[in-house]
Amino acid sequence: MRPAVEVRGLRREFRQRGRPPVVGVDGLDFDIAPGEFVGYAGPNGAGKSTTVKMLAGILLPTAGRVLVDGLVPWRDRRRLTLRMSVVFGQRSGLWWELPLRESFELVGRLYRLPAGDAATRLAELVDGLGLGPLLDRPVRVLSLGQRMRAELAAAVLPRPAVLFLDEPTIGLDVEAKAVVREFLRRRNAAEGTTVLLTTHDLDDITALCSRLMVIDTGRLVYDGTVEALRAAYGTERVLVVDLADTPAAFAVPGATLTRAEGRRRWLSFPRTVSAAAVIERVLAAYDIADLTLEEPDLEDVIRRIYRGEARPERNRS
Amino acid sequence: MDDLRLAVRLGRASAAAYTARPVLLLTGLVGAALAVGIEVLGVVLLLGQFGRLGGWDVHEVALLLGLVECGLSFAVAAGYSLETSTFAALVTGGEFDAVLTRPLSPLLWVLSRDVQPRELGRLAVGAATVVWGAHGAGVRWTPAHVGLAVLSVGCCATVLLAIHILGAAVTFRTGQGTEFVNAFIFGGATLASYPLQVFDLSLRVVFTYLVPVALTVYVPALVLLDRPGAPWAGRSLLPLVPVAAAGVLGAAVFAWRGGVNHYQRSGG
Repeated sequence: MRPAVEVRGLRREFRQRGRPPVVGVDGLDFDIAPGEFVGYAGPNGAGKSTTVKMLAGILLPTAGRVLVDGLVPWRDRRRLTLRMSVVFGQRSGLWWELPLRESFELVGRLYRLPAGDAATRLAELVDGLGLGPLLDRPVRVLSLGQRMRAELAAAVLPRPAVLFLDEPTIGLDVEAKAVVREFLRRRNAAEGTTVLLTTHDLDDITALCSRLMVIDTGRLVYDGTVEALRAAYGTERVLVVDLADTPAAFAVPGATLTRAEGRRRWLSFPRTVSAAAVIERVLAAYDIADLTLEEPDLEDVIRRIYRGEARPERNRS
Repeated sequence: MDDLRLAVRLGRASAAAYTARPVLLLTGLVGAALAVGIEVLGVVLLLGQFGRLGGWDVHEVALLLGLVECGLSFAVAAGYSLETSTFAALVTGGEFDAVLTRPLSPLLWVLSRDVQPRELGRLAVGAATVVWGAHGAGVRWTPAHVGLAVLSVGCCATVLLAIHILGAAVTFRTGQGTEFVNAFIFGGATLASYPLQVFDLSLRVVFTYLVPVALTVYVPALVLLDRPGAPWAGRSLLPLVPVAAAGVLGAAVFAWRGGVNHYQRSGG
């Protein structure tokens, strides 16, 4: 099957007057399969937006090859716009002064959707994103969360094959983030939309993405599953034990006591040790009120990659 | 053609959105009407003192002024998003990225984003001035005359809008709006509001042949008023009016495309 996105040797330099050019993106190679939901993370200035701009046909690369849904973005930009949607978290694609309902109607016309089809689909999207009560309000009075939901509805209305999302949850409250994530998850599952999600929010990635690419100083430093990243570079897992009473001493073979507070104990153990074994040992030796298993914090893993403490090889497990 | 129809639909929607803010719309309409009204009044009072300007009486000059204001109203209404500082913000703020992801020509997209209905105020007073001037000058309106006036307004609007587009094309490269544009748009419009023969030959040539704002108004007015016209700008230039307007627009669109290419190459 042809990849939805194909990138080979993609490079972008930015010329500066009187100084050597700055390399924004430095030799990217990756494929994204149709229907894949890929997270794209990296520190500020790592090259995330530059990549997305090149994939969307907004920016010309210095070198390299890109195909999005079989089209060269910068050469077939107009054709690609009908098959791809881009949502920029902090910029609006809607009509500021128009009521939301009319904005959606214009999007339908813009993408040449048959009127009946657009109406049915819109009703479904409005329902899924809880936009019903907002339809008669102009976009300029919507809150950021409401507007982002509206932007997403407009972006998927024309059934794009590929969806590029640039920080769609930035600045949203917890509830709005949850609605946006649930919506994206369902669209991807139901319609097989290929999604590339640029984000700083690792909860977005763990909630949505089967695959994560991490970029730093223009290069991919990780490309693989979220689980594999955790397994390979994660800090140890932690078992939080709530004891029924306070024993004189607390020690479990194969695990290290990292913290103690009242009757609560934190036990850290390497990924090579089975959690079941550790729990079994704890249960055998102590009277337990409750247990919680904490997975390694992905943010911490990625922070370590950025800092160069962990430099994983490219990995597509 | 499909693009143009879509852009007209989008532009209509953006203009209609102002009806949701009636106070803003009304003050805008009255403001634009008053601005033109005062200008017309000024010319009428001035010529009331001096009698004639380059051999043209007050009604004949009013006809010119009215035609220019009508053309300007369309150019400003459509080109509002290209206004120097607004457009510079669009380019430097990165908003233009989103424009390039839309299935419509970027120029038409930008133009249709904000169409100013308040310019109807200018149009109304401009049209009234044309009617008043023509009546006073003894123009007998035949369908051909009406067609000529429409052609004049359309071509004048096209040239003024083209200057706007040229300015925007420069903004892609400089990241800043340039007052140069306003000098040509409003300077050109003011100049075209007076009989060309009162100006120096070099100015006449610039605004007739290079930036043909004056050509699009003065020459059709000569035919309407049945006057011979000035050297280098006579009635025989009439067939040149639509050609010049289309030519300037074509050059502007070409420059705009170069600007967009530059944006894509440089990364905004």
